[in-house]
Amino acid sequence: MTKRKILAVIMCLALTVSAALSGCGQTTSQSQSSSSSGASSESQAESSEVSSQPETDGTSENGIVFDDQGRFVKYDPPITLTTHAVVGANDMFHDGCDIENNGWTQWLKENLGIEWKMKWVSADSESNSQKLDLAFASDDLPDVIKPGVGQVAKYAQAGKLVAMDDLLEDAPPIVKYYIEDAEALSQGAFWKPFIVNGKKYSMPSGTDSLSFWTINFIRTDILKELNKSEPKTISDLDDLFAAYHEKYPNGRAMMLDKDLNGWELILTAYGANTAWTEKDGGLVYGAIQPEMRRALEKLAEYYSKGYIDPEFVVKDSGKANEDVIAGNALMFNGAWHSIANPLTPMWNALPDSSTAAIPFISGDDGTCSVVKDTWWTTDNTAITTSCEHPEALFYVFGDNLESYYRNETELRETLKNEYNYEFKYPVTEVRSPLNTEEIAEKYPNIGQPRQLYLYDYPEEEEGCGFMNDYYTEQGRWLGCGAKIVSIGNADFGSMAEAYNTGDRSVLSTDGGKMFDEWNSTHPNMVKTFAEGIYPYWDKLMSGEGGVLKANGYAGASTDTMVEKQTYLHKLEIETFAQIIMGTQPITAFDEFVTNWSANGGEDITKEVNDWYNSNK
Amino acid sequence: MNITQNHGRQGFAAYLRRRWQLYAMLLIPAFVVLLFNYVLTIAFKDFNPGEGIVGSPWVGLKWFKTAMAMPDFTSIVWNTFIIAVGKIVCGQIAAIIFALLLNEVANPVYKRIVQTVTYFPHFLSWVIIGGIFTDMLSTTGILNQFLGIFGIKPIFFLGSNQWFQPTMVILETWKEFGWGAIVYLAAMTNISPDLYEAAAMDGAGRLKSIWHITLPGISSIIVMLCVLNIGNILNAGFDQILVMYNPAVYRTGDVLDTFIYRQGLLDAQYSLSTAIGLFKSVIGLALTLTANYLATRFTNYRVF
Repeated sequence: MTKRKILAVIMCLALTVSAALSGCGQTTSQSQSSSSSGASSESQAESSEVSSQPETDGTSENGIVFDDQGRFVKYDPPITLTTHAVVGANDMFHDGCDIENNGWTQWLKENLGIEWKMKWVSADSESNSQKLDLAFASDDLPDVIKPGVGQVAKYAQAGKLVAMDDLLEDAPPIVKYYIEDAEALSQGAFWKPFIVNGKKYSMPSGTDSLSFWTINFIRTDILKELNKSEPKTISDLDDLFAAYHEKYPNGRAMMLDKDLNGWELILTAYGANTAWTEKDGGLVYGAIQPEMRRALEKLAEYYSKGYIDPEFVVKDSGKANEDVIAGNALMFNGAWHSIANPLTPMWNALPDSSTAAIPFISGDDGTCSVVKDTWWTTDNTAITTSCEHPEALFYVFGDNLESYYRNETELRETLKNEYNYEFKYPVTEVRSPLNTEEIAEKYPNIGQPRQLYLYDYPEEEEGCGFMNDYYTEQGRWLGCGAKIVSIGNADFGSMAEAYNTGDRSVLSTDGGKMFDEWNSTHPNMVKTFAEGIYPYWDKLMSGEGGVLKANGYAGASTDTMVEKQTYLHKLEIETFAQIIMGTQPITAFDEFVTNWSANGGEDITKEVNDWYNSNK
Repeated sequence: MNITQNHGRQGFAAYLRRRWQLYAMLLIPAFVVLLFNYVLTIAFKDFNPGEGIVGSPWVGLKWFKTAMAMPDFTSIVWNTFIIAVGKIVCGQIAAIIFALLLNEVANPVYKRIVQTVTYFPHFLSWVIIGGIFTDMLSTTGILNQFLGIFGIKPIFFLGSNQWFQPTMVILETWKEFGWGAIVYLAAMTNISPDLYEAAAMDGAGRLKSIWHITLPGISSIIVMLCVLNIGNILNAGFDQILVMYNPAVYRTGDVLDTFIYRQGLLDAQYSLSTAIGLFKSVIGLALTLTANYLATRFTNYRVF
C-alpha cells in the first residue's frame, strides 16, 4: 500500500469519527433532556424554596449570604447566570467594555457574587427571537431569557420554564412593590399574558406606560405655508392632502411601509384595528370588521390620488423614514420616540422645519378609537429550568432597584412603613451626570447620550459605589425590569411640566437627566414631547372620550394561532396591500373575510372567546 | 465509468480489495445521511423540544397532510417550480452562449478581464444586490427612465404579480451566468485544436466550427449540468426571494423556501417545516434519478 493510500484512509476515518462525535453529542443531550426535564423543574423549585428563606442572624445558607436583617447580601462562592441580549448598532460601550464586561456586570460580580455570561448576542430582536426558538429546540436555553408572549406559553407547556409564584413570595420587598405598582396601573392585567395553567411563568418588565403608543406627527411649517390648520377629521385630511399634493406632487402626504405601519393615521377615524375588541358580549377580530373595509377604501383612495408613496410596499420602516428625514413627508403616525429618529435627523437636515404631535384623526361623525397592545406585553423575563439559582434573578432585580432609587425618600418611607424594610443602600449624593456635550463630541454618530453605557464610577468610591441609571438600563438588557412604572411615568410628567412652566425644580432626578440630554440632542425633542405627545397621552390614559382601548386578548397564542397564524397574516397583509394599491377592488375584502374564517379564523375566534369567558 | 464493468470476471471481492479506499470514502456521506435521517424523523413526529426528538409522539404523515391542506400550498409549489425552471433554463442558455462567445475572443487579456468582471456578481450577497436593484427597478429608477425614452410607461417590477417572476429569473441569470460559464470554458480548452484546424482546412467558418466542434465537444458537460440542476427544480433561491418579495407579490413570489422560513424559523414549527423540506428533497432526488436515467438512455452518457 502506498503512502498516499494510507493517508487517504486516515483522512476518511478522521472525518467520519469527527462527524460521529458531533452527532453523538447531540444525541445524548437530547435523550438526557427528555428524561430529566420534568423532574428537574420540581427539584429546582424545591431547592429554591429552601435556599431563599431569609435568615435573621446574618448567616449564609446554600451559598447565599444574608445580613442580620435578613436582607440578601451576596452569593459566596460566586455563581454564573447565562442569558442573551440584543445589542444594536447604536448601543455603544466605553472603550474596552462590552455587554458581558462593563461597569454594571463588574458591580454585580464584585458585590453580589453574580456573573453574567451571554449565550449569544443578536443585532436585532427578530433574529434574537429566532435564536431563542432554536435554543429551545436544541434544549440549550440560557438560565434567564427574554421571550415573546407566544414563546412563554410554548416553553412553559414544554416544561422549560420555572413557575415564579413561589419565588415571588420570597422576593425582595422592593420587587414586590414594583409588581403591586404595575398591577395597580394595569388594572390587574399585568400577569395575564404570562399565566399558563394558573401559574406565572414570566415577569413583564416595565419602565413607563408610554412605550406602546403611537401618535400623529405633522410638519407645521408646511401647514403654515399652505395656510391650513391642524386636521381633526377625515374631511380636514381630504382637504389638506389635496392642497399639499397640488403644491408638492412628489411629496408624501402620509407615510406607509411594507408592513402597513403608519396606517393608523387613517384607521383611528373609522375605529378600525387588527386587535381583539369587545362586541356583543364576546371578542371579535378587528381586521375582518366593516370598519376596516371603510378604512381600506379611504387608504386606496389616497393611494390612487398619489398621497401615498406608490412603492410603499417594497420599503421597510428604515427606508420609509428616509422620506421623512429628507423632508418629503407631511404627516406620519409613529412611536412617541420618533422625536429621536427620524425627527432629530430631519430637524438637523432642515433647520427651518418644525413638527407638532397632534391628536388622532376622528371620523366625520366624531368616532375615534385606537386599540393597542399593552405596555406590559412588550418586554418580559423568564427563568428556565436549566437555571441552578432561579431566585438569583430577583435578588439582582431587587438590588438594582434599591440602589437606583436610594434617593427616593418617598419610596424609602413606603417600604419602611408597609413592608417593614430598611434600604440596604444609604442615601448618596448624586454624582454629576455624564457630560453629554463631551459624549456627543466623542461619539458623533450616537442619537442620544443615554445610549452610552459608561463604566464611570471611580473605584475608590466607598462601598459598592453609586449605581446610576446607565447601569440600570444595562439591567434591562440582561433581563431585569428596570423601573417602577409609576415613577417612570412621573419622570416624563415632570419633564412636560418643567418645559411648560419653565420651572426646573419640578424635574425628578431621572427626568432632569433626560431633560438635559434631549435638549442637548435637539431642543425640538422636549418641545414636541411637552407640547403634544405628553398632554395627549395623559388625556387618553385618563380614559377621556374612550379613545384608547387595550387589546381585549391578552392571553398566550392559542393552538390554532400557532398553526394557522402565518397563513392568515400573509393573507391579511397581501389582501390589504393590494386593495390599497388598487390591484384588487375593495370587494376582495369580503372574500378575505370568508377565507379568514374558513381557514382557521373561526377556530381562533372560538379559542379567544373561551379565554375571554374564563378570564371575565 | 469502467469501474463497474471491470469486476465481472474477477468477482466482487477481488474488486473490492483493490478499490476499497473509494468505498471507505463513502462512509462520510453515508454517515451524514444517517445523522440527518435521525433528525428527519421529526417530520413524522409532533416535535416538542421538551420531550426531545426521540420522545416526541409519532404522528405519521400528519404534517404532510397539514401542508397539503394549506390553502396557499399549491400556489407556493407552482411559484417555486416556475421560478426555478426559469432560472435553470435561462441560466444554462446564457452561460453556454456566453462561453461560446468568449471562446472565440482572440485577445487573452481582454478575455480574462471580461471573465473576471462577469463572474464578480456571483460573490456578492443578495442583500447587497437586492438593495441596489430595489432602487434601480423602482418606477422612478434608472431602468424605467431608460424605458421612458422609448415611450414605455413605468413598470413596478417588484410590486406587480405579472413582473415579479421574470424579474427574479433575469436578475439571477445576470448574477450567475459568468460563474456558470467557467465550467464550459474549461471543457472547451479540452477540445483538441487539431479539430479546428482540420475544419478550417475543409472550409468551415466560425459558426460551422462552433456548431460541429465546440458544441459536441462540451455536450457531455451540458448533459451533466442539466441532470444535476434538475435536482434544484424546487429551489427557487431563498436569499434572493426573501430580500426582494413583499406583500403585493405574495401570490407569485412566495416560494417553498420562504414558506419554510416563515413556518420554521419565525413560527418555530419545526415538524411542519421539516416535512415540507423533506417533500422538496424527495421530489428533487426523484427528478435527478429520472434525468440521469433518461440521459443514459438517449445520450449514452451517465453522470452516476
